[in-house]
Amino acid sequence: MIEFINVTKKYPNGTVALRDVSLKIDPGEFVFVVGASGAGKSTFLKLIIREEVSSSGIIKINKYNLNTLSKREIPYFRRTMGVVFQDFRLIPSMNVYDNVAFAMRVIGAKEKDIRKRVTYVISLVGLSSKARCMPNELSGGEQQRVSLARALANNANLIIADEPTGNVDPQMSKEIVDLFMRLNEGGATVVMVTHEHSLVRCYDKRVIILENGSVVSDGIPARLAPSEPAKPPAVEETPGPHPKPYLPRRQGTEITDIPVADLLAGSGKDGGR
Amino acid sequence: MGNSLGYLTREGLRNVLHNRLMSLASISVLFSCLVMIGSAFLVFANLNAMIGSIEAQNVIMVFVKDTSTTKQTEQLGVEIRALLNVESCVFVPKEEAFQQQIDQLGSAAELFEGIDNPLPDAYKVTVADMNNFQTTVKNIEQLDNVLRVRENSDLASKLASLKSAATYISIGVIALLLIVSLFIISNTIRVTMFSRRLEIRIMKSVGATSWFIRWPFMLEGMILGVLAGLLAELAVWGVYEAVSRSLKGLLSTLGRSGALPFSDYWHILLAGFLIIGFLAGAVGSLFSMGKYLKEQECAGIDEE
Repeated sequence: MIEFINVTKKYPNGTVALRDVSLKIDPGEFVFVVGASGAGKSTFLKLIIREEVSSSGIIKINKYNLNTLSKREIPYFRRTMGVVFQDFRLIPSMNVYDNVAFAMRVIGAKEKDIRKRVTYVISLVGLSSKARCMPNELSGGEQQRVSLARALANNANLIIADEPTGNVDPQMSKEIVDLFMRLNEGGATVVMVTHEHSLVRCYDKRVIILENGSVVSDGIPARLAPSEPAKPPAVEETPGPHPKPYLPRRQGTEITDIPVADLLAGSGKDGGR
Repeated sequence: MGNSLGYLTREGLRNVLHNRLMSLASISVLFSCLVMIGSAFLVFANLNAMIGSIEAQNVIMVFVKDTSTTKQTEQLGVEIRALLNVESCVFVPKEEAFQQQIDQLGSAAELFEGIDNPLPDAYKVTVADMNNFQTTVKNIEQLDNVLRVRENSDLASKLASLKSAATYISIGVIALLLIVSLFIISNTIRVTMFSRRLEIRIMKSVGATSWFIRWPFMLEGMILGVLAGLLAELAVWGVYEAVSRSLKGLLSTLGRSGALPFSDYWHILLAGFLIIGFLAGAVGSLFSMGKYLKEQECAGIDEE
C-alpha cells in the first residue's frame, strides 16, 4: 500500500528533510510515525499525499508510482486516501455536514449517496447533533473529528493523520486514537504522525521513529504500563524490514457496513467544547 | 459530472452572495468600464450620424448642356447612376431649379421678372464613399453632354478624414477599455481567490480537479459580468438621455434635430454589455485562476 525505496528529500534551500528512507506499510496496518520537530514527519506526509516530490528514490502508494504521476492524475490519486490534517482544514463558510459532504462532491458523488454516507460518518465520529454547526462553533476536538469524518467520507482504505491529537486534551487524544483503531479494525490502513511518545506507548502498534530525516526505529514496541510487564519488541515478533499488520484486515468490509455501535462503543459520545 | 455541475453552479451563485464585498468591487469596476465603452460607442454613433448628415448635404451638381435632347439628358442620368460610388442621382429640371432660386430670394425675386430661365437641367448626385469623391467627380466630368460639375471637394475630403479619424479613435478607445476591463476583472477575481486560498487548498487536498476548483469562480465571474452589464445599460441610458437633452440646443445650431434616440441603440448596447460582461467574467476568471493554481503548484499547496 505504501512503499518508500531509498527516498531522499532535499529542499531548494539545501535542507535534507528525509535521507535514504525505505519502508513498507502493508494494507490493514496501523502505523505511528513519531519524531521530534524537524525530524522529517511533515515531509514524510507531504510526500505521501504528493504535496512534495522526492529528490531521489521511489514512492509507491495505492498502486500509484508517485515518481511518474502526472499533474492530471494527482487529484485522482488523492481520492484514494483520507487525510486528517493537524490544522483541520475545514472550510469556515460551510457547516459540519457540508464540510464532510465536500469530499464526496469533489468526486462527483450523487446527492442521494452523499446524504446517506455523510450522515453515517458524522454519526461515526459522534457529531450527529452538531451537523448544522459552523466550524467556529466547535471545539478543537470536534473540529478534528469533522476533519476525520471528511477523511472517511469517500470510504478510502488509507487514512493519513497528521498530528490529529495536537490540538486536543489528553482524554480527547485517546478518544481520537481509539476511533482510528476501530477504523483500522474495520480494515482501513492508518498512518498517524505524532510527536506524543506517551500516547503511542499505550497501543501495541507499529511505530516508525524518525530522527534527522532517517528512520532510526521501526517496529512494535512493548506497551509500557506499570501494572504489566513490557512485551518483547515488535521487531523480534515480526522479523524483517516490514512487519506484518497487527490486525488482519477484514476483506470486503466497507465502513458503511460496520454498525456504528460496534465502532463507537465507548468513544462515540460528542465531545464538549 | 451532472451532479458536480449542479453543485458547482449552486456554489458559484452562493459565492456571489457570500463574498458580497468582493462581488460589489468586481461589479463596480466592470460597470465603470462598460459605461465608458457604452459612452464611447454612443459618441461615435452620434458623430457618425452628424458627419453623415453633412455628407448628405455635400452633393455634386451635374449641369446638362442646353443643346442636349431629352433622350441624351436621360441617357446621362443612366450613365451617372451606373458609376461606382454613386449613391443617388436625382434629376432637377431647370424650371424647378429656377423656381427654387426665386423662392429663396423672397421679395428680391422681382428682379427676375420677365427674364428667361438661364439655368440648365441638372442632376443632383450623392456619393457613397467620401474617400472616392474626387474620382467620382472626374468620372462624371468625362461623360457626354455634361456642361459643368459643381462640387466642394475640400469639404468632402475633410469629412472623409474626420469620419476615418472618428472610427479609428472609437475602435481604439473601445478596444483599450475592453482590455482594461479584462485586466481589472481578472485582478479582482484574483484577489477574491487569494481571500479564499484556504478553500482552494482544501479542495486540492481532498482531490478536487482544477476544473472543479475553477468552475464556481468562472460562474461567479460570469454572473458578476452579466449583472454589471445590466447596470451599465441602465446607467448609460439615464446619462445619455440627460446629456442629449442638455445638448439639444447646441445640436440644433449644427443643423441636427438632436442626439440619436437611445431606443435605436438600446438593444445593441445591451447585447454588447452582456456579451462583454459574460466574457470578461469568464475569461478573467479562467485566466487569473489558471495563473493562481500554477503559482500554487510551484509554491506547494501547503503554504499559507
